[in-house]
Amino acid sequence: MSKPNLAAILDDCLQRLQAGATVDDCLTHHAAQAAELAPMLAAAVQLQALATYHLSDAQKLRARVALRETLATQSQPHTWLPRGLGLGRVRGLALSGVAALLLFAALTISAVASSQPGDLGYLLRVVIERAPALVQRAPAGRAAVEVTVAERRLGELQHHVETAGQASITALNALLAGDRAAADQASGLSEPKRVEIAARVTQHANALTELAQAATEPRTASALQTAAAEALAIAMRLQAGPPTPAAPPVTRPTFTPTETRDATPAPGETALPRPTRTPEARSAGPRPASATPTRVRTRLAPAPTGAPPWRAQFGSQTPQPGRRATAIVQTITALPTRPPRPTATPTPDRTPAGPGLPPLPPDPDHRATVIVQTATALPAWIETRRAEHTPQTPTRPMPTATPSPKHGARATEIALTVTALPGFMPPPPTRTRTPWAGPPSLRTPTTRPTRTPTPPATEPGSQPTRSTALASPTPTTRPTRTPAPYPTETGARPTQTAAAATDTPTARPTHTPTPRPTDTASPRPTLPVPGPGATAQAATHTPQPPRTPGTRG
Amino acid sequence: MDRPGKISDTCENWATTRISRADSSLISVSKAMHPKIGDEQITALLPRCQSGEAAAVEALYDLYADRLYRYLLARTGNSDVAADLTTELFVRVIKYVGGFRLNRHRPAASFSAWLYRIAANLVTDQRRAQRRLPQVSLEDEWPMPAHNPDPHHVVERQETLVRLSQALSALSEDQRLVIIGKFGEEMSNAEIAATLGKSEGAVKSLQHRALRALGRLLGAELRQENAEYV
Repeated sequence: MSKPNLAAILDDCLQRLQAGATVDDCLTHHAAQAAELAPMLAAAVQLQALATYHLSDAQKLRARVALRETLATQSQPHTWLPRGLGLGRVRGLALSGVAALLLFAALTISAVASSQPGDLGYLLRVVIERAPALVQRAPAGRAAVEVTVAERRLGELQHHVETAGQASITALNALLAGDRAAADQASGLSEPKRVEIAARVTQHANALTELAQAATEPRTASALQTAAAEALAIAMRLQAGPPTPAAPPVTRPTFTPTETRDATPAPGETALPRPTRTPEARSAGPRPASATPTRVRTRLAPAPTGAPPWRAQFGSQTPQPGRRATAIVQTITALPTRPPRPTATPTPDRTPAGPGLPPLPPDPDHRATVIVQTATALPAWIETRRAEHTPQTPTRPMPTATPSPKHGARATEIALTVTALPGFMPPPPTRTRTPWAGPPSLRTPTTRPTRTPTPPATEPGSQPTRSTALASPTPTTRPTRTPAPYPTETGARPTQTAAAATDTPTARPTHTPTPRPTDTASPRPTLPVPGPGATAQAATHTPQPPRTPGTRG
Repeated sequence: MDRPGKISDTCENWATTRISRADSSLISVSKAMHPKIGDEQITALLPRCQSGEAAAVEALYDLYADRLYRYLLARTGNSDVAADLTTELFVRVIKYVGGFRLNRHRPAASFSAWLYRIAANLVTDQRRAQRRLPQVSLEDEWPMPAHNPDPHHVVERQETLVRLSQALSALSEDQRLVIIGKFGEEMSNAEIAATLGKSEGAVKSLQHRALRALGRLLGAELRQENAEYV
């Protein structure tokens, strides 16, 4: 209570002092607070002397000189800014620059976002729009984003084809890249998710196929077809799931020449779809001494009535013939690799009398018949088109592959056409026939035997396989018959030559007999000579490649 | 409260002596020497100073030089140092006035506050430099022949300045500004409050605390002097 009063009293006293009163006047007026006011008023009186101090004229003059020098120094341009360009103008210019940059960035972003195939910024858009997939950590989410982006590319591709009549390579590549990335991400997911992603990729393939059919330019159609095949292969690969560790990576089913004889059906049997004979696994245990081959229905060939799992998945949307071929590929891929074994079968006359006899020298007349079965991996629409020009398979003469005479044995080879679109299938499992050429000393480094198709005229009546029937099967090979999965493929009735359905959907017509034609005598008794249709085992799904006239006969 | 009569009498005598010396006419003269600075003056001068006009800078110097000199004198206790610092202060004003933004609501008060802030920084820099390199005034070592007919008065003023600067150094910056504004520039409480951005009550409180501290410090010195004489 006293302090505010004292502050107010002090202020009153100071005002009195400034007005000309003395300290005594103030203390007399505030006698109660005189003791407290006295030192404060004494200090105030001393402080009032401050008001009398001032700079002298000389000090002011010196100061003015110093200030003028400073002003003269300040007026000299010492900045990088041009004269007349003040700080305000610099700020204005900076703001204008920033605004221009923002405007440019906005325009660029909008241009890229609205770019279409063929535009300058479309490639950048394709790259940028895949960025969200990289942010996703979960493979499922990443696969979903990849497929979604791929669908966006597909829509742009469709629009571009409809408007420009051409397929944008950028969009096509982006679409396939998205599908591929989605498949890679989804490969480790559960089966339902894989199936879902595979279905979406398959839809892409179907849409591309439709686009290819609707395309007017051949190049565009070809590119779209290739892309469709690629997408379909991706879907199939994804549908099959990740490869199991037990499954060997190499799928090269080999066939022995004895297969021809072993697989030679009875006349009544050739008309039916028959499983392809495949050699029995060597690890299956000891074999009987009997040379009679046993028909083993392996899991390589699906049951004729059983539909592959993808058919149930995709239903009628997928063309059947092409799907079949693809399914076969899948099945074969999962097979363990069978080591190339001797395949050539010596003729019966060269068969030693008993086991343990040394192999006979090669005989030029020795003939081995090899049936190379073919696989058609064409999609349905291609196969349908080609089927119009495809002669009926049953009437087709049976080509025989004749080994070089230097081998000392002739191998009759029925080569069938393998047609596959590039990129349609995974790395083709090549079927190699590796006839054993006997001891190394007798092996001749022959190249692959030339295909020597038998003339058509000689096919039905002649017995091109008779000679091959003379060749006895090697006792170590027990080809199993793999049933043809879809005997009605290409609409051709399985005849004698078409009895053996495709079991090897090789993407290439890899018909590479090993350079070791097995010419050794088999310790086992030879098979009985089959009938005229002994070599009619291979089914022809597609037309044969052009044959060289000189090789006939 | 029963105070020692000697001390009380001494204080009263000291105050009476000082008051008796105080010339009431000097106060009225000082009021005439320190005219109030209007907002219009600052608003008119400042843009010209910012553009580097020498006349405007000199006009500004004329307005504020003595006020800032008294502040610097009260802080340093040396007239020559205060004069040099005043010149240095305006040099800094010329350098940095381009970046000063005037408060449109109280132009003069904001500009004064900016100047006093520069002055306070100068004093701080000067003391720091003096600590590194002690300086001795030539006048202290070799007193020049006095042009003043009353050399005793000159010495007394110098001693008073030193005591005041030492006492002011014990105050806070707000208290110093209030005291110097009140007694150096004879500003009213309202003007000080506007300059400092405080209320008049706060100014009165600061003034009371500052004077109480100064009275205690200056009274102790006076008692010591009296004790020496007794």
